[in-house]
Amino acid sequence: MEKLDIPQGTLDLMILTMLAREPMHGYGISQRLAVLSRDQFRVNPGSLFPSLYRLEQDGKLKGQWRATENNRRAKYYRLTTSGRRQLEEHRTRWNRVSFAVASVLEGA
Amino acid sequence: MTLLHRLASIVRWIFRRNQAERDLNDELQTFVDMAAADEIRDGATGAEARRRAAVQLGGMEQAKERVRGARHGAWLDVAGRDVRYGLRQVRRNPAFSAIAIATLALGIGGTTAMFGVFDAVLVRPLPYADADRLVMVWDWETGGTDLTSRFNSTPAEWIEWRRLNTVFTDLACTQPADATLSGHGEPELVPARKVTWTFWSVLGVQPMLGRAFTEDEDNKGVRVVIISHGLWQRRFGGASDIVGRAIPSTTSPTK
Repeated sequence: MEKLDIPQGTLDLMILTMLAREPMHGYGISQRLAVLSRDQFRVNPGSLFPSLYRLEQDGKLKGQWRATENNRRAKYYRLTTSGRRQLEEHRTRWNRVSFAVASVLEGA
Repeated sequence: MTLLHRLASIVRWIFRRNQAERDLNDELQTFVDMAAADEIRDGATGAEARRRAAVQLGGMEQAKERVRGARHGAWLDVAGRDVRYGLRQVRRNPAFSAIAIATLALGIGGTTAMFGVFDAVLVRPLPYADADRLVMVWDWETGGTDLTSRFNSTPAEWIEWRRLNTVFTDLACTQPADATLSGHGEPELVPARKVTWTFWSVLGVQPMLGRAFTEDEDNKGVRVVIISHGLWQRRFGGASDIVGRAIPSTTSPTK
């Protein structure tokens, strides 16, 4: 089946949510996203890394190079305090949006 | 805080460009390596695994360019490239550039000068009290239609206008009367004007030292002067006892 496009503005929310559990590197995030979305979403690195860099620039994420379990060096991203706040706000807004859309669809 | 982070990050990107580029390259390379390792684990051969990993990334340079373009401050890169390109063009064609720059310089200079005049004459109010209520009054030739039919009034007219005046707070009259100063130092021609005693109150100004002219002095034609601050400083060294001193001049000795 064809993969779904990631809805505009939700990639940041999903990145922040996944990183709230544990720090991950770029490849880890893309793999986790595929698994969690039951293989519906497949994020292109050309979209993932720009998002990561912007979130890092805004101080929502902090990147750090360290060794992976396979002894490779990778840049791990973790959520900052400001990132955690952003996640809360984003999440609340998303819940409202999805609830509103669902209400319309059911009511029509 | 977000703004501070952004600024710091833009500054880092400018000054530690090579480091940032290396990091980006390493990060994307790591992505490809990890993807390839997973492909091998899933049963692909080495070459096939690397090919599939590269496809996943969708082109190393394209991915880098997208990251660079998405960063805050990406416009700085673009602007920097434009500036460098512009300077290269200037160097390549100096004659044309010189003409273009000279044209710009003249244009900007001319416009600035025009604005300077416009600002002083039309925009800024005169440095007098109630400047918006100050007007010039002229005699007008009967049937005259343009400014050439305008002429100066006489002292007698001033007296009559003042007596019959119902519209103005007051009227003052002035005539050019440039004078040559003699006495101490080089003789010197200074711009000067004869004015009526009402001149100072009409403009709403007062001398820094001494007093303005009195009606009595005006009626009797007493020769008194008020000098400018510039002249006081320059010719009289800012003397504190200047008030009441006689100033020799060709027009007549004057106090």
